[in-house]
Amino acid sequence: MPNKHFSDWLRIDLHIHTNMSKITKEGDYKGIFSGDTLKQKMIDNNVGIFALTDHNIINVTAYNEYYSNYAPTDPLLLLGIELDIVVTMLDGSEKDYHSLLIFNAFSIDKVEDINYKLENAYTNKGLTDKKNRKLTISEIARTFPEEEFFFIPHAGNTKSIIDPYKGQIQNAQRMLLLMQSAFEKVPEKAIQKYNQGFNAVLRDEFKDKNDVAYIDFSDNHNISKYPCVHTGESGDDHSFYYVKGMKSFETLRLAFIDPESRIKSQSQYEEIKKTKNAIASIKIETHNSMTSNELYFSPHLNVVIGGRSSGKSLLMHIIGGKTDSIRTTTTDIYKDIVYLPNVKIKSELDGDYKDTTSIGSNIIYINQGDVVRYFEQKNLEDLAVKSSKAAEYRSCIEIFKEHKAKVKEHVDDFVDRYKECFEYGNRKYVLHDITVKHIISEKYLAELDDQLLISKYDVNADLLQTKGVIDETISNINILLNDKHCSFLEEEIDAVTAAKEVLKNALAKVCTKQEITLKRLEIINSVKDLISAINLEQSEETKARQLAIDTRNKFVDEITVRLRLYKSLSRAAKSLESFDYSITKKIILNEDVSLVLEVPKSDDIKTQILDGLNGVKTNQGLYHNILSLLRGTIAIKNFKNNQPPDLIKKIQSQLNNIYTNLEKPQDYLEYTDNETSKNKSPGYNSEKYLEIVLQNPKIEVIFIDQPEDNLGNRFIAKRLVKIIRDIKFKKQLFLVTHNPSIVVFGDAESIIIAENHNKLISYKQIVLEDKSAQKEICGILDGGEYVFHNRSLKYNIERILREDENHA
Amino acid sequence: MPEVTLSLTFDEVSKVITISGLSAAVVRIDYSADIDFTPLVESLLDSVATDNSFILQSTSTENHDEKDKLIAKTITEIIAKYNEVVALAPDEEA
Repeated sequence: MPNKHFSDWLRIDLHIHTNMSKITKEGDYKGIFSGDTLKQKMIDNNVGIFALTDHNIINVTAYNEYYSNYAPTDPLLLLGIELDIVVTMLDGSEKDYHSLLIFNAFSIDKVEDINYKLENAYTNKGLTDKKNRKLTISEIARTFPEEEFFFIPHAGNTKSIIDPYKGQIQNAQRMLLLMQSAFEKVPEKAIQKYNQGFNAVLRDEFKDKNDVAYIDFSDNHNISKYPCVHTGESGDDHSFYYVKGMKSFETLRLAFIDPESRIKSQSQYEEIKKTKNAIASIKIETHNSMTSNELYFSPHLNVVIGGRSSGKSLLMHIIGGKTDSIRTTTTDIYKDIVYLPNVKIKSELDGDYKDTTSIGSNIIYINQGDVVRYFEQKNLEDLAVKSSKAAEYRSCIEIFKEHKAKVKEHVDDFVDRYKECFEYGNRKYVLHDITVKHIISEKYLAELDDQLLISKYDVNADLLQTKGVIDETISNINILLNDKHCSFLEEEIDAVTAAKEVLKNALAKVCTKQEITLKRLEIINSVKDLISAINLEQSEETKARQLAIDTRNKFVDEITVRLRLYKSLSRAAKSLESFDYSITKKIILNEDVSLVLEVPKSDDIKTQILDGLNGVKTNQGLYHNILSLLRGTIAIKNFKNNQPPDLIKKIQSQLNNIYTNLEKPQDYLEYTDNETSKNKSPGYNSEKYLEIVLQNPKIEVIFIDQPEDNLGNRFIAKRLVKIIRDIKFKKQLFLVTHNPSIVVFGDAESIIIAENHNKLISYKQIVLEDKSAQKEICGILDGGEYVFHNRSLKYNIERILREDENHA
Repeated sequence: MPEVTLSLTFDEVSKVITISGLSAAVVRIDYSADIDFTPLVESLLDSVATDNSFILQSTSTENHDEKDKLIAKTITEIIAKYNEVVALAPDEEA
C-alpha cells in the first residue's frame, strides 16, 4: 500500500497482556506467550498501534525483542502498563481500580527507564509482594513527573474508577478532565450519563463538545487466540477500534482530544467505508510551470492551503477539469494546465490513472466568491447557469415576457374601447314633443311590420348552429379515419367516406338556406325603405309622420349603439382589472434550494390606474370610474379633457413598474425550511446557501474555493466547521481555504500545501498529527497558532474553573 | 344571466314617468313636453357592467292616450335592445 499522505484509519489495541501478568496476578494468562506470535498476530489483524499492558509490571524482554527487530512498516508498539490504583474512600477504607498508562515511549532505552522508575516506586513503598502492587494517583504522578502518558481507566463494571470515587465522583471527573485520558470498558448505554456528569463540572463554553474519548481494547490474555477477548474462553473476538492518523503517539493524543473525528468503533468504521466512489489521486507529470507530483486524496476532508498565487485554486481546477461531470469555468491562465494530457486522475474505482474520471453527477463545484456574488450582485441567473438550469431560467424569463404582453393586450383593448366611447360622445336622448305628435297623428301611412317578418324568416342563427355541428362531425370523421387504433377495413372506410359525402351534401343545403335567408332579409329591408320612400312622397302630414317615425327609430338605434360600445368598454375594464399580473416561477436547483422568479402582487391594476385619476371612487370598479371620466365628472391627473391619448400615457406611466418588473422579475432563493434570500444580507444568504448545499444528502463530492469568503467569523467557527465535521464522513470535500478553523477544527484528513517558487508551482501533503506539519500550518494560516492553542484547551484547568468559584 | 324586474309607472297628473329597479335611484322622465330619455340611457350605461337583464312591468296603457303608449313602447324597445346587448358574446359586441 502506498504511503497515502493523508490521515487514514488505523486499528489500535492498547490493552494486550503477556505472560508477565501471571507474576503479578495469579493465573492471569492463558497459553504460551511468544514475541513472534504477537508480531504476526498484529500484522495479520492489520493493527497499526498496540501496547503491552501487564498488571503492575513491564515485560522488558518482550519490548526488547520487538524493538530489536522493528521495521518502519511494522505495527507501532507503545509502552503500556495496567496499574492497580488505590483510592482512600470517604469512610477511610481503601478501594482500587485499574487503569492503563500508555507512554510516549517506543524504544528499549525508554522502556528500561520507565520500568526502573516503576519498580523503584513499588520498592520505595515497601511492596515486596508482586501480587499486591498498588499505587495512588499521587504516587504515579510523582513516579513519572516528566513522562508523557495517557491515562485510560476502566470505567465499566469491573475494577472501575467509578466505584472508589462514590460520593466524591466530581473529584474524579475534575482529575480526569485535566489528564490526557480516555475511558475503557464503558457500556454504550452509560456514555450519555457519563457525558452529563462531565458537563456538570465543565464551564459552559466547554460543555457538549463530545470530546470525552471512550474506547475498547481486546484485553487479550492469550496471544495464540488473538484477537480473542481476554483469554478467549467466551469465544468472542474483539471488535476493534480505529483511530485516524499515522503510527505515532501524537495520533493518539489528537484522537483523545477529538474523539468525535478521530476514533471510530468497528461498526462506525464500516459505515464510513461504505462511502461511494471518490477521487483518489492525481498524477502530474513534469510541466514548465509545475513540478511532477502524485497527490492522494482522502475520501473525507481535503484542504488546499498556501500563500497568494501559490496555485491553490489551480489544483481545484485541475481536479475539476479532470472529472467528467464537473463543468468548471476555467480562466485562461489555467486552461493550458487543467486540460494537460500529462495530468492524470484516478478514482477509488478506477484501476489505473485516466485522462478523465467519472464520479457521478452529484457533485457541487463552487468557485471562489461565487456564492456571495450571487447575492451581492443579485446575479442568481449565474447560479442557475452553474446549476445547469440556464435553459429553464431563460424559458421562465420568456414566460414573464409573454405575461407582460398579455397585460399590454388587456390595456390596449381597454384604451381602444375608451377611445370609441369617447369619440361617440356624450349625447342627449330627447324625443321632441313635435316628433311624438307627428307619430301619433292619424294621417295615412303605409306601414310594414318588418320585425314580424324578420322573426319569421331570419333563421340564420339556427343555420349557423347546424353548420357548426356538420363541420365538427366531418372534422372528427377525418381524425378517426387516420387513427391507428381504429384500423378500419377497406369496406368500412368506404362506408365512412360515404357518410362524409352525405354530411357534405347537408352542408351545401345549409349554405343555400343561408343565402336564401340573407336575400329575404335584404328584401324586407328594401320593402321597408321603399314604403318609407313612398310615404315621403305623400302629403306633408304623411311625410312628417314618416320622418318622425324614422327619427324615433334612429333614436333607439343610437341608444343601442352606445349601449354596445359601453358594454365592450365594461368587458374590457373587467378583464383588465381582474387580470393578475403577479407571476411566480420556481426552478429547482437542488432538492434543498429553489430559484424563484417572481413579480409579486402589490397594488392591483385597478388601484394603480385609479391612482392616476382625480376624483375617483375607489370602492367602485374600473368601469364605473371610467364612465365618470367619460362624463367628465372626474379627470386624468395633470391632463385636460380626458382625451384618449392622455389616458394612454397616464396608464402607461401608472403601470410602468409592472412592465419593468415583468421584463426583469425579482429572483431569490427559497430554502427548504421556508426561509428565503429576500431582504437578507449577502452574508446571511451565503451562509444559508452553503449550509444547505453542504448538508444535501444526495451530494457526494463538494468542491469549494475559499468558502470563508464574506462569511462571518462566528458562522465559520460555530456552524461551518460543525457542518463540515458532520458531513465529511459521508461525502468527499475539497476546500481551498485560508481559514485555520476549517483546517484544524474541521480536522482535515488531507492538507495539501501549494507553493510557488519562481513561478514553479508544487504541492506537498501533510497531516495534522505530524507535529512539524502543525508548525507549517501555523506559518501559512493567519491565526493558526491561536486555533491550535484553543484546541489543546481540552486539557486545561480553565475548563473546570467556574466563574462563580472565581468570584467566591 | 340574472333578471331584474323594472317597474314603470305613469303619473298622468304631473306627467312624469318613473322607472324603478334600474339602480338605487329611481329614474324619472318628464313627458309634459319634449321627452328626455337621457336619464334612462345613463342608468342603463351604469347597469351594462352588471350583466343583468331587465323585465319591464308597466301599468297598462290601454286607457292612456297615444303619447303615453308611444313613450311606453319606446322605453320597452330601449330595454329590449339593452337586453340584447348584455346578452352578446364578446366577439359579437363590435
